[in-house]
Amino acid sequence: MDPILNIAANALATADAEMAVEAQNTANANTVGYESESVTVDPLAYQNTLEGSVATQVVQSTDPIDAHALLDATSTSQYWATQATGSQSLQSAFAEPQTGGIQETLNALQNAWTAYQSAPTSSSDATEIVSQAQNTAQVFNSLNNMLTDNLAGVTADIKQQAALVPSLLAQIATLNNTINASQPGTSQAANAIDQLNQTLQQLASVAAIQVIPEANGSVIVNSQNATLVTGTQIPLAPGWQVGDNPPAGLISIVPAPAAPPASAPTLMLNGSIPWSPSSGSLGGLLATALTVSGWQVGLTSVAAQLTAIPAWSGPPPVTLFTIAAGQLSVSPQVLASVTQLQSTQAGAAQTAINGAVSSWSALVGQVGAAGQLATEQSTTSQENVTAITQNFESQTSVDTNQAAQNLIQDQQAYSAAAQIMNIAQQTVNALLAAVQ
Amino acid sequence: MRVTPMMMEQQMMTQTQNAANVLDTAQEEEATGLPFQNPAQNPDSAVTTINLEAQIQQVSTYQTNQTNAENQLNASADALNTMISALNQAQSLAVEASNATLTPTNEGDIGRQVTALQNTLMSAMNAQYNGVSLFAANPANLTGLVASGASIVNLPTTATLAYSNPVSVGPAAAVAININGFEMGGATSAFQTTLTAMNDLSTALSTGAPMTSVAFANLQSVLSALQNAETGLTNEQGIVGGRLDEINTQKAQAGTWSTTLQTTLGTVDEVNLPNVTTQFATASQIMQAALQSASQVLNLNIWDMIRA
Repeated sequence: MDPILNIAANALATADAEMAVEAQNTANANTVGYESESVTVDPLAYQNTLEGSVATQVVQSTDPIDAHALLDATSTSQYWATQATGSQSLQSAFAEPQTGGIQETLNALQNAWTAYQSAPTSSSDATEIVSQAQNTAQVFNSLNNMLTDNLAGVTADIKQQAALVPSLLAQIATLNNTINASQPGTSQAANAIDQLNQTLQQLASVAAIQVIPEANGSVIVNSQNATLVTGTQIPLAPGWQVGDNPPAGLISIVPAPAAPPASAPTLMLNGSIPWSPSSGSLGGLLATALTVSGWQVGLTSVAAQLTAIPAWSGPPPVTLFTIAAGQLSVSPQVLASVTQLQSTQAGAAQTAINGAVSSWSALVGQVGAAGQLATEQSTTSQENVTAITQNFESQTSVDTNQAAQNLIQDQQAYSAAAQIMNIAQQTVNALLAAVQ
Repeated sequence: MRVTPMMMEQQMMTQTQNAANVLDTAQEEEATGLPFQNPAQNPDSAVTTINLEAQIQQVSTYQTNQTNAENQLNASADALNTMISALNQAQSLAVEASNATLTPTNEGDIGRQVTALQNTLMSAMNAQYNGVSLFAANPANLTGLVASGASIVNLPTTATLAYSNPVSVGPAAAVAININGFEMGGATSAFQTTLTAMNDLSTALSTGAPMTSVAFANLQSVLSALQNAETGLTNEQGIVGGRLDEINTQKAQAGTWSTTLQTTLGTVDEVNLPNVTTQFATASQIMQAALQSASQVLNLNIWDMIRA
């Protein structure tokens, strides 16, 4: 072939590839996680006057340090955001003072004892104590039930999030296989790597992962020293479903004991390896479940202090409250014989109520501190994600202005090469006409 | 560092969201008058509020107990006055009875008056407040004093305060609201002494006129016993007065304490309106600025210029 035509043809192909890449860049300018691409031109071919410019591969802008930091920061941010959401959903239940709240109810119970102490023969005062005791039991049980329901909701969320992991791992494995099967430096490989990065980002938002990149762009994914995906293999586990009982697949959930106070479920990897992601939304949900179950234990402890209130000294002695199956209730003996309540027990009752208020105050402090910490850390970690994302994007995202300039240049280069081809064709036609 | 439109968009969104959050919080604070809506917004203040409320409740309990104790002790003082008055009358009757010129009819009249005074005394000794016998030996025993002849059968047998019924009227301050007659010590209750003296008077008068030298001597002895009984009841009244003084002292302290606690609570759980209003205005300005910046900056890229 005529060298001119060869050079023009290569230039056309190169400009075509560059325009395709710039079009791809422009189209994905606002795609989160998209790494801008560029075409590499073979420098040796460039020096060869018979070759001109030859596009060799599509290269992605990368920033491996920030990419790694972004995955970690995303996990951390999701961890705290999940905890903040979980904690905030219960804050109003612990808000004090509030109408019908625990403190108000305990105050009313204390007042009833005070009134009865001053009028020990008043059956209405004795009845008032029982009435206030029933209110107190109802308020405690209501909050306890709310915590139990909340834990059930968190457990359901854990199952939902855990179910995402096998799905994301399957996508990563598929993309690994696509990358391995693709010619390095092709758009197909670059697209697969883009998708892989986005999927890794999604996985990192669910659970803390360690990503080890292979030379061709595929990745090994580990979590807590367990390999979840290798660079070339599908995930190690044979199944994907999330089950209630081990062994059911990659991730199984051992339910929390049903007996109150409830606690967090346990995640098992491959049915045998205890798995507790330290961050990500899954880690955040596990931490939330532990926190909420801790509050429930605290609430039970506060309620237990009320069972120290004597109703009468006996024999046999009877207390005002009992706790059974996690529920606080007025003793059946008291309900059956309200007038047996002894006003002389007012002092002991008030001491026990004061102790319960003190413990309740400490519990509210714990709830508040946990919520405040989660909110602050959520904000801080999100700011960290934003900062790293900005660094990362400044290195890797599409510069639309530059893309526009490149596209115009590529169009001009394409036109020039096409013009050369046209002139060459006209020259050849003229020569052929002259020969004829 | 290259600043991309996406970065600017995120920054504007963050600023706007932050300003919106501050506005929401300020609005809630102004609407509710509370500086925090849930414990997470200020855990320390949440705990402090509960503790202050608990202390206020404690003071309120003290104040209720003070009022009740004061009323009961005042009722006790009234009953003691009645008893002392009866003893005074009994002494007058004893003096009158010792007059050798009295006729049997006169003696009979005096005897009936003494019987009436005995009834008055027993009635005063069994006076109640809110269903509780003021001078019950045992607070669990609500039946009051039971006399059998000259003896009160349900008084404690020894001088002890074991049957006292203390009520908390302040921190580390309890006042016994019942009086059992042993408050001044001694082996016999002041009420028993009173009842015995009155019984002795009744017995001495039963000898009838004319007064013999023995009966006269007995009356002199009874008169002395009545005076001793009056002294005992007067001492009991002094005890009641002392307890009322203690209650008054605790009332004054509780009043001061309550005011201080309420004031402190106000600084913790009441919103600082000028401060919140300033925050609200500042956040509004920040939000406006962020929105205006966003509208001016975000579209400044070449593609939008080309499209325009």
